[in-house]
Amino acid sequence: MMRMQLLSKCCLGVLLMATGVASSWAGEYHLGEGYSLGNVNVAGYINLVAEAPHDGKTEIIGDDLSLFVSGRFNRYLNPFVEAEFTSATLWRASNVPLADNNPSFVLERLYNDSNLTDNLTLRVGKMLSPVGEWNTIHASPLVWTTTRPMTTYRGFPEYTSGLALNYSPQNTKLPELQIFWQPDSEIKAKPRALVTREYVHTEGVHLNWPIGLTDKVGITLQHADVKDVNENQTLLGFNFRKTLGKFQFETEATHAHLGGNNPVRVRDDEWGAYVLGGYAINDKWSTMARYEYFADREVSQGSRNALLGLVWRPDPALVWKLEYVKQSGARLDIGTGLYASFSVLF
Amino acid sequence: MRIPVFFIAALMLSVTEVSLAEELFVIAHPSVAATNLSTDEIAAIYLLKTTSWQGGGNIVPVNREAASNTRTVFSDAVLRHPPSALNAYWNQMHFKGKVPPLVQESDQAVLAFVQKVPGSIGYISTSVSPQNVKVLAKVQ
Repeated sequence: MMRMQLLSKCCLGVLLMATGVASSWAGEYHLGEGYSLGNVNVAGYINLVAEAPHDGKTEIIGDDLSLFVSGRFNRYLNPFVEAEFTSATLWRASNVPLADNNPSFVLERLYNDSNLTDNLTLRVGKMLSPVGEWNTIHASPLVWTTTRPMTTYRGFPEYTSGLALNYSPQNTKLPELQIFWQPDSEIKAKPRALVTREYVHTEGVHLNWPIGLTDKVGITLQHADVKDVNENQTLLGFNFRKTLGKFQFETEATHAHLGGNNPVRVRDDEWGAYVLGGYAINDKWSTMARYEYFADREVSQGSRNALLGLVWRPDPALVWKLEYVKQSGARLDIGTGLYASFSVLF
Repeated sequence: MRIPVFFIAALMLSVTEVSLAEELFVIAHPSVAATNLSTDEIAAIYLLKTTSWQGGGNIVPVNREAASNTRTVFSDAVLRHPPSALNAYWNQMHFKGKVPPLVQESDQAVLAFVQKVPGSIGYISTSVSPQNVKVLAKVQ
């Protein structure tokens, strides 16, 4: 009931924002580009996932139905909101379709950007933590694989609820800089079942050097306290992507040093890394391979997964993915099996 | 019948090549204070690095549809990246909260949009008269 009330309020807010500027102008709609109505742009994405892990049930999941709305009103008022329904089990082997359909409502982002200068922006609200690159572009149509590498979410707060100062210089030889701070808890935290752990009091800095249109090298330093547990962590992250003709290579790595007296912990240093190579067969078809290792703080054995996959992109906004994953070591979030997805950016 | 078909095909190919080599006006709403822009400055606008005009006001960049030859000419001459890379880039920027250039599906539609919307910038073929807009550059 609370979820529906919140959703209603969000929809009403969007409607009011949209109608407030409807008289100005409207763009033509094209799939993947959202719809602009004056200073307001409405867009989103859908992601349907089919999972067939060897040690679990075959399922079709409505993984995401996400809507994001942004407004550009003046130098100081540039709001952005993203909300989504996630994890709706549409079908499960041997079950009646939709019998256990119980999606979660998630407020992904809610912030305002104020452009202090041409290069400096103050962001206030709930935002994605700039730890690596995947977390900041995690929408399924924008990333290589259906299964998300654990390195890109499992060991750090994915969201920052507070302030961020973003420096984005015109000179592309200089790095972009983001400094972010969360004074207390997360605004409208994700349901507990969808996250590994919750965090409070986070702060960090991310430096990012663009080396191409989407290619970049980045480093992150982040400190956070784990909520309701006597544990804190200092994380160092690294991300890199490089495109060479039809090849694209990307990697992310994190290392978190853990403090405090969490009795469940089996190691004081949690770390993970993945490497991914993609090859564009032509404009529509790509193939890729990925390998990941993750040493979780609460599991003595490390977890490994290797992946081979195929991507078909009939339109820049439509993506079909098929991948086979072989997992070994500790079974964490990704199991051996076949995974497929269909996603649309709209 | 085969010869006329061949000539028609050859004519169509030559027309396509002419259109690929066309010159473009980069145009802006008359209220925009800038009088001319370099290629790099135009690229910074379309790559969403420059989002407001000198002296204030949001920039509203306008693009042609993906299949347009005019867009191909503009992308090659100004943005200097292949279409697939530009699509990936704009999709990422959109998710990060920066709205990609709006799309209008003809020179006339771009011209009409730029005439109407303060802060807008677009590009049209030089075969179209740039009436009631400010020409900021000519690119090829």
